[in-house]
Amino acid sequence: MKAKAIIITIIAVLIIVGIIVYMSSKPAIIKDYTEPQPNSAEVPNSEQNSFESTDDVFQEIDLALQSAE
Amino acid sequence: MKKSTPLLIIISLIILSTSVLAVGSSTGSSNTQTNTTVQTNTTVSCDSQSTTRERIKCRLETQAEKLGTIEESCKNNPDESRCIALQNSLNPCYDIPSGMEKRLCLYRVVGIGIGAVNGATNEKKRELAASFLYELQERIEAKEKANIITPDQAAGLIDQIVTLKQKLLTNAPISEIRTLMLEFKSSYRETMQ
Repeated sequence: MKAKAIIITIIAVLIIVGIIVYMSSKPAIIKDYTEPQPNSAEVPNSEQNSFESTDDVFQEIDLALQSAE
Repeated sequence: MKKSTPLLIIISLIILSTSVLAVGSSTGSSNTQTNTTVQTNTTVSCDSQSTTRERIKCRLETQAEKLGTIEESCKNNPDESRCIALQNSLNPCYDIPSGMEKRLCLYRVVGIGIGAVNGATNEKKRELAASFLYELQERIEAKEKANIITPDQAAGLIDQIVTLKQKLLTNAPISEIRTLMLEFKSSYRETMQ
């Protein structure tokens, strides 16, 4: 009877330890994989910051090519 | 014998717990180590890719500091060092936030006055066209970083820019450049809009 109680205690303790170890290791792994993701909020809107529009840039290129012929 | 049984159980529990913890923590660090090794290998292997497009795509995916497009576009250029020097001197212009000031800066560095394109030498005109192409590359890179376009799409467009710049800076016929430019415009508009 006593031996049965000891075995049940051991199994219970092992399960608890296992759960604690599993729970404590999980967030660290998730962190490793989420860190390299780029922060899209920091990316500037280049269309607004550069020439007025893409067509303006194409026009400048065409002008340079046209006169280089 | 019976009295020592609880003590043995406690000792064996401590040993078991320690080994379980050790396994848990060693798995985490080995994962990190593997990731670091993979990233280092990928960065190194970008240069060994066979095509320009693959090298650019690899560098975009590994978020390498430099895409190496200046070096790529100055390849096969008889005056490679001059080509690299020109493109490096243009770099500060691309950081100017105002569109008009950026345009003035590009003209100034190339050595053409605003409105004086027709009077400039053909070499300067080609350099000016190449400088504007890099402006488009900056926009492509920004959209790729914002995950609006994929690294493969960005690499395809940047590869076309590199080819155009190579042709411009090695005196390839303008008719050939115009044909490539038409193809690029079509791809750019299709991908970026």
